Amino acid sequence: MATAADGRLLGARSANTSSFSRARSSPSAVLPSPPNPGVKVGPNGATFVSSGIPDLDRILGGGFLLGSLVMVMEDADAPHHLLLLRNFMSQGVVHRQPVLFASPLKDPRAFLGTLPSPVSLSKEHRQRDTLVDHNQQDQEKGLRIAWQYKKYFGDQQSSQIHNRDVKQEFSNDFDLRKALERQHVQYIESMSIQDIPRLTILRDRCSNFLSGLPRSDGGNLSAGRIAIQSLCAPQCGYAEMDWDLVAFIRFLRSIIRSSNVVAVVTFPTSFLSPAFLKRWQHLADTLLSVRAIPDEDKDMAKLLTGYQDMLGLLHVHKVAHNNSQVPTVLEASTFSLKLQKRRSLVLERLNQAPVEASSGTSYSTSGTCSGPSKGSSLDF
Amino acid sequence: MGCNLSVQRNKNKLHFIDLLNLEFLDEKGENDREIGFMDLYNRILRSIEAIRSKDNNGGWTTIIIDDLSHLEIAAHGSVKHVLDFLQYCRSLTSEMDCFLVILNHEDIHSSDEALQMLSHLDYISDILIKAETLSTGIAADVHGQMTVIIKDAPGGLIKKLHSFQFKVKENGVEFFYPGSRF
Repeated sequence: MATAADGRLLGARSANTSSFSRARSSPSAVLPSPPNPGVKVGPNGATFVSSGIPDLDRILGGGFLLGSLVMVMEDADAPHHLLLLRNFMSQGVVHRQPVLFASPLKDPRAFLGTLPSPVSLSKEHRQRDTLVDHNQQDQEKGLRIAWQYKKYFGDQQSSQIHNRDVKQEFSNDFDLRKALERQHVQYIESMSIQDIPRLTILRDRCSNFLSGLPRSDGGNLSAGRIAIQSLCAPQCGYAEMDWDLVAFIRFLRSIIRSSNVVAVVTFPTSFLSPAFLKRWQHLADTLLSVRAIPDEDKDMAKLLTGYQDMLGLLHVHKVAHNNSQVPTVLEASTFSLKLQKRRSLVLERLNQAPVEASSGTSYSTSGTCSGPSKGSSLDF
Repeated sequence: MGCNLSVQRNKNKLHFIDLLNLEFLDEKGENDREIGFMDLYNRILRSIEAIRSKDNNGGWTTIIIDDLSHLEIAAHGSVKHVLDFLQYCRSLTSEMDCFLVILNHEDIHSSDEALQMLSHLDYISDILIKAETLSTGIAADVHGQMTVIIKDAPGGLIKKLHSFQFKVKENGVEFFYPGSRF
């Protein structure tokens, strides 16, 4: 039984790698060096890094495009954008990519303590296979011991374990309940933008970060990540600096365009005037927005299945694409954010709940629901 | 379509000025913006002269500004300077036999001051092309609709009005009249 299970897993993995090398250009596939798991090469010579949410990668056609600017419009009522930011940064840590984090918080380090840690492969394995035999348990025990040992050994040891455990994948599932260990978080460069009266300092930090990145060597692409939280939040004191902010975003976009970096910027929409909001949106390569869903919305609950489990809605407005002028038209642009087994984030398409055929009243209520008031959130 | 831009660029047929990297000012000085725009204008002028000196078979030169909002950002929102700059560029169309193509986003000009920019652009244009998403919503087969307005003279009457729908493809764009495709 164990061999069968292992064989299945092995088969799946080898299938993965083969498709991976096919996607890369043929000469580099010959190279003996293993491809960098943090960077994926897609069609049209596009290179992606993972957003940290496997579902989001799939929706965006592979992940965040390297050299693109991803903007996330925040919801005023809920911190869902933080989920995206956390997974984005954790994925960077797992892939050992340099990360720069700028936040309006007083102490950005404290926020980094809440980064989720990846669901380890062994656990995943256990989840998938309902039959857990002794052999595997032993293996797992060994692993657990290794995790314990990590405290006593140095950093290198832990990174090796890290390697063996989770590093093989392009995107990991993250356990939101379990915090990433401090020693990994150290690699993240963080800064507070609260006390910076002028954006030039943030500008300099970003360009320093870019110049400090290792050059890509041969087939092994290395990527970097910039995460900026709540760029125009009022505590930053950027009031009356609309043009400076837009100029900063344009600057950010221009410097990352020619580099192997993805920048994710979240911003609260309510503090921008409509004209500037549009300008910000036009400057984004990939534009997402998150929205909370109201607790007591009975009509919505009736209309959508799994309403109780939903955390919020994620809307995909614009998808970056490279070397192609054909726009990406997604099948659906609104997805529900859910927690699977109360720990890892999944995105699902909205499903319309079956209407009870017997009662005419329910039909009429759902009819009014899909009217102009709720119509915007339902794209079928 | 199907034109290799980087080859054309190496042959000096295409001159490229990166607007994303354009920075005019360190401090908010009026003069900096003027100097910045003058620099930009001179660069355009030099490129045009370089092109004209090379092949003087009366070829027309096209100036494409993609897009205008970047100029506005570089000028920190000074509509006056941008409009002055456009006026200069427009003078090139008659003096140097150029086409001037300006791309802009309509929806960012919703405040009062910016409306002035929009109406100004509308006025000075000979041909106005609006590309929008379908009014009926997003579709996979039809990417958007396009309205072409050809005028008599700048600010004059509408001579012709076309409306198309389009689909963007890998090597071109397919235009068709609404409803004529299938």
